[in-house]
Amino acid sequence: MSCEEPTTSPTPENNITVVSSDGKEFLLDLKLTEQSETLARLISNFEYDRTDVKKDPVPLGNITSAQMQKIIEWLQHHRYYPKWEQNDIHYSTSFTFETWVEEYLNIPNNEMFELLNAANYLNIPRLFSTICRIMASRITGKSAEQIRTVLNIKTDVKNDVYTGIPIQEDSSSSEDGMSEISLSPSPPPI
Amino acid sequence: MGDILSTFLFFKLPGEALSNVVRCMDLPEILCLSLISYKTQQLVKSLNIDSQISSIHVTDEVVITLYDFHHFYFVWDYNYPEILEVVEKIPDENGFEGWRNEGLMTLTEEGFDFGQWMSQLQSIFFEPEIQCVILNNIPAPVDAQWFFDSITGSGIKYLTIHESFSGNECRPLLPFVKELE
Repeated sequence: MSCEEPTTSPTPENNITVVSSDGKEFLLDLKLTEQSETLARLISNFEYDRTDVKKDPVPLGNITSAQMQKIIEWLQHHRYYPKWEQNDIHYSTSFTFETWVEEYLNIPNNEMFELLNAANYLNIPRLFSTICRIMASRITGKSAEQIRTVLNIKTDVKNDVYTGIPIQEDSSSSEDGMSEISLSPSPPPI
Repeated sequence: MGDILSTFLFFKLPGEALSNVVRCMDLPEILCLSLISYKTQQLVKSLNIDSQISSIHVTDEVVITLYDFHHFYFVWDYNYPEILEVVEKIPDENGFEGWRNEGLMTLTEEGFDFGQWMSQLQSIFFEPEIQCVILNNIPAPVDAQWFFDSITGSGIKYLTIHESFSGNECRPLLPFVKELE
């Protein structure tokens, strides 16, 4: 699917400024923010789509400038795509992605993890769903042990299926250092 | 496609992302995931995958098929109880069942036997009842009683018994069967 069309330059009337966690400002076309349910709701709540409303920069909590750059790249590519509609992703075996998406997400798993968190935070369903499917595709055909390695899952207490008695014990570090991304824009003053 | 060797901090994902990634997986990977740890087993259970075992066909090997996952079936061999082989059915150009990818995946779980594989499979489905068990024959060296005991306790909707089995042999299963043929 290709929906490339000439892009329009943001003007003060049709853009907002978002600020990454490391303080870098990004000028974002309002058209692009429609893909982020979080930003779209915020813009609607504060009526930032009106030209007579002063638009304060929107701080984006834990999203770094590198992640924001990557997300803007995604938003720009999908600028003219139809609104995302959630298909039934249950049990789908198709892991076919357009070339652009494959290249865009040709990144290490740790970066993918951060991007998925950011997509979840900004509520960009097309990106969120695509990363989930890419992640699933990366473990296709892998054994339990390989999946354990790729997903960094530690063994934990596992009860015998019949007796309910613990049959193995190991450390589980899964909650250690849980990375939380919270929706930071404390509503900017109007 | 990226550096597959760098790890992905799976359980640090937000809950919705966590379950979404699993829902995008196919059944063999979901089964593998459920084998990794108690926590992953609980995660898979929490998805309430709306499926069930559609049939267990008992011959010289045991073939397990599933509803909603028609492109896979599992084969269990009496001689290798710790192994469950995943076989993929690949449709031909007309959409009919084509060739079978028998070497797709082999799951090995130390200490497992048929009963434990069954339990593991049933634990990940919303509906634990087995739709149909067809008993053709069990190889002579295999203790039939042991085999029946290993699936005793599972709800079975239909049981089809061929002549080679006596009623006594199948008796342990009967209390769990709704219809007998």
